[in-house]
Amino acid sequence: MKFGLLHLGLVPLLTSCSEAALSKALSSEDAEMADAGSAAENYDDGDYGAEDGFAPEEEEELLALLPATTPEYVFVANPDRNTVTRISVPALSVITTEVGSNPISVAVTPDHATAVTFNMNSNDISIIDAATLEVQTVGVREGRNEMVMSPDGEWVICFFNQDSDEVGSRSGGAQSFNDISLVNIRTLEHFPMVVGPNPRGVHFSADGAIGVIVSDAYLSRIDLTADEPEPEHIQITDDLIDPPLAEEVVLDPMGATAIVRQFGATDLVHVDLDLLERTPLDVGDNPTDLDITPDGTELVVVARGSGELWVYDLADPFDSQSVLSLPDETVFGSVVLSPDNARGLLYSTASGASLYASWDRGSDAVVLRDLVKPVQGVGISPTGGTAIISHSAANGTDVDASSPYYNRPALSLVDLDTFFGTSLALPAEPTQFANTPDGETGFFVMDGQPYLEVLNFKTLIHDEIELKSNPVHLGTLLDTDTAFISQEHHLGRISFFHPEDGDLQTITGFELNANIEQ
Amino acid sequence: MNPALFLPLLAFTGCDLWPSTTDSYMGSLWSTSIVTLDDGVYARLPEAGALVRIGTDQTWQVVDLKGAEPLSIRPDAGKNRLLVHAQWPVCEDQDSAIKRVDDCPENALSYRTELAIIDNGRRTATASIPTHMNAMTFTPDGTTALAFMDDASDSTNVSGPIVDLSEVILLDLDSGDTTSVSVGFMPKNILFTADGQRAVIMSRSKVVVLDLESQSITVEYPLTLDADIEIDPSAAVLTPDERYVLIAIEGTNDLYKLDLEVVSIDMEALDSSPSDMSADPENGQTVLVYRDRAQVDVITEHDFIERTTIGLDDPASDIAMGAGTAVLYNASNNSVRDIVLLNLGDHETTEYVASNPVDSLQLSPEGDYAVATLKPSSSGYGTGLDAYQRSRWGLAVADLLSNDIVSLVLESQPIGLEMVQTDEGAFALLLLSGFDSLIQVDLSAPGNYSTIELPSDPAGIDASPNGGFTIAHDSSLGQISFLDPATGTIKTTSGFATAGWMDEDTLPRRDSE
Repeated sequence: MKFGLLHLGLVPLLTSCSEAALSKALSSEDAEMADAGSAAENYDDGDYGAEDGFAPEEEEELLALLPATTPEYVFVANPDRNTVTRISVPALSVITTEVGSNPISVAVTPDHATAVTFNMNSNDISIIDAATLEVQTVGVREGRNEMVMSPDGEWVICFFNQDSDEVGSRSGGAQSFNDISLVNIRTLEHFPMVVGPNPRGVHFSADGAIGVIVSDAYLSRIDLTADEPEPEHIQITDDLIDPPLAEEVVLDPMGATAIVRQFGATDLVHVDLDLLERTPLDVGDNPTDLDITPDGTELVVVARGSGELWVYDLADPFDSQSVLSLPDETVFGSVVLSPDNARGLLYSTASGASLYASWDRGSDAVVLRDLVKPVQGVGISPTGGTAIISHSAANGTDVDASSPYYNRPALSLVDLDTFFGTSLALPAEPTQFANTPDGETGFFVMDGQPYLEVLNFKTLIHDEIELKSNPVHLGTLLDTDTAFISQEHHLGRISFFHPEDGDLQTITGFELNANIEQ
Repeated sequence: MNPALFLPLLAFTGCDLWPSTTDSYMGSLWSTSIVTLDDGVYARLPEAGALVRIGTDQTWQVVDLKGAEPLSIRPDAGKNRLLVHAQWPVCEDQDSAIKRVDDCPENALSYRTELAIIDNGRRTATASIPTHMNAMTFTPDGTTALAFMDDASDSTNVSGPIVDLSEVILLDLDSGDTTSVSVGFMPKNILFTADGQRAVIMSRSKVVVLDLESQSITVEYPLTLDADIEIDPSAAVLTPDERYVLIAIEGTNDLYKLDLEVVSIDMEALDSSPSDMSADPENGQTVLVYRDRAQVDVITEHDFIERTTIGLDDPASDIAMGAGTAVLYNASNNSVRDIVLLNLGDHETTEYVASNPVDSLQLSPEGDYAVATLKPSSSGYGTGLDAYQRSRWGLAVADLLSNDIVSLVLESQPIGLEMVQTDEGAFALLLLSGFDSLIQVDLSAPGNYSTIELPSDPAGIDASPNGGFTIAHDSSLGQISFLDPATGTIKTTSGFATAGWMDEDTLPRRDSE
């Protein structure tokens, strides 16, 4: 995984889009998936030891100081100024309030009433009334560098993620890397606790009642409905000396089951979070991707080594399994499921082949299909009608020099009813994607290109909107069709694009607003 | 065009529209930089250390400044009162034998300064305004002046032991009461809202809004967050609805937009740094020109800036606003001769090409003509008549209702140009250096001019609030002519510069008065 550091007041960190991130960005339905809202595990693969000769399937993650949005507001943290700017939409009036030192992330509760910043240098969080901007502060454990909010917006967990580029504040005294802060943002209660060594990610059940912290050798389950939440630790490996890293963890929506895919392991690990029991779960060779279906009832695992797709009933994963053999013309390492669970797309970022396969979930028919270039990432529009497939500049094994896409990044749009598609040659790699909730419009921005690209998912036509400067972040305001694009500018710049009328509104220099004196 | 339309525009320019008259001192007994008010013409008499008011009927009177010597004079906004920076000697030696300034021992002699407010020939109030504050601007109702030091002027005066370059002084022109307000380093551009309630003051890296009633700063906008970066506003304008202040920054393409209503800052990236900006109240737009780019931008929407760019053949550096039109010209580039009329309704342009580069430009009172003085071209005289014309000063009259422009050759450098509108049409009154006649140019037929003989060579012309004009002459003993433009008659008053010339340099003893 690659990270590029951007020294911008608005956004310090941006990576190229990953398969996982692309999928998340393109499917709002993903919010219902159990791993939504989690801080995904990102590990240094090192000698990954894949037995099929291919590199691991890439599970890149966007780590960035992403603005948090509600239908009415965009909250932008300004780490250099120790402030948060609230931009009202559509008036675009700007108000800034002071928070703690170095707010490196901001999140908004699902009721849109509260914004929360994690202030890394002051070791606290600021709980901000979205309407009045009244700020309350709760201290957290020293040295944490990441914050995750529960889906119900009731809790945040601050922990130290060794894979983060943020170092955390250091006072010079004793330091723990595996204590966390659990904060109830409604009651302002702080529950410090210790979890397994080297915590790598936090997951919540869909209702926010259960929190699970993933660390090297343990899952730590927290019942968030308890008066005094406490962690319960579940050992997920017998090897406590050199535990295999948990490459991927998914949680069922109820928070009763966690499935762990460990690096180099031949089985999955099924964890019963109620009974705190761990059981090996059979799977094909070299599992490279696991996903829970959008309805939360099944687990889908791609076993790249054996060319199989394993589907488990989460209610009884040990006895209710089905195995689907995949076409052997190529390898498949990842799967993306459509939000309606009607189909999946299978692909590999490692094979170098310009191919993908459609998987009809009703008939289990898997059809191999052609692309202009090898796959870099796949997403599906919120309504499941269109697939967006990104391609890097690399040409893989089968792109000829005569191809117009040779040595150029590209993007393919595929109508998932007809599998008719079109491909765009791009001047640079896409870095971020977003879409409108109605599934009609998609957006993406590219590295170093001052444009917002607008995709019409019905016609597959694209339009280009010129921006004032290079984009840093792209998203849509919650539950609206309005896209926001934060851009490079030393005093802050953000644009709002309204696809219905094509208007682009830009405000620049809003960080100055923090220093206006009245 | 109704000349009253200009008044609000002028009020917002933030420029010192009434520069003080310390210059043009000819080494003679008087300064020809006169100020014409409705009660008479005022002139400084440096040799006598006096201020004189001159009437039309060969009369004059020395204004009593209580022993002070006028250093500079300027009118207030309505040309009703005269503001005089003056200094007087103070002798700490109280010996009653000391009657003259020269009698005072050098180590006991010092000078103090004040701003005297002269109303109808009388010193009605004084204020403590340091003389280094060489710029002044006035609220729209004319009751209050804001004094500050203009770094662009040539004043090097340091008055007093300490000079605070972040200070502006509010002066009540009725009472002379002053209030000092610290607004930021080097305030240089001051705008007023039309209701006179607020002043927006630009300074280095900062803009403040000053409530004129409470005389306190209500909002302070930063222009940078980095103290190492100096942001110097180069031009500023209030949008027609007065909600926003647009500020151009020297050396950058950033246009700052300060929201005075929902207090906030936005910025627009322009193609260059504007050299001039003007509001178009008729169409709710703002016009921007660039010294280094052949384009004019019209901001048609200010909430979220929407900008229309219109290409020009050559860059324009300045704007003269008419009613619904803008006349664009370039007074800073000797290779540009274009004058462009921009219709702000449809954004259509009409290009006029003068024979020579523009030195200055004015619109006729009803806005039908643009009259430009032209300077000799610095290069490329060409041959024949082109060379004849381009090597000389000139006057161009552009008929803004047609595509016609007439460029006339002048005998010498223009030293004064005023516009007058009569029942018979629009006229330009022109004074040339070393030419002892006033030239009256009929703007509808510029080649048909008439002359009014003057008693001697002119030195300058000043418009009177009553519609007349005053012409100062190059006469060592003092000579001023009063022109009635309706009749073309001239009355001359001479010899006033001798007033007080022979008087003794009496030491004022204000403390004992």
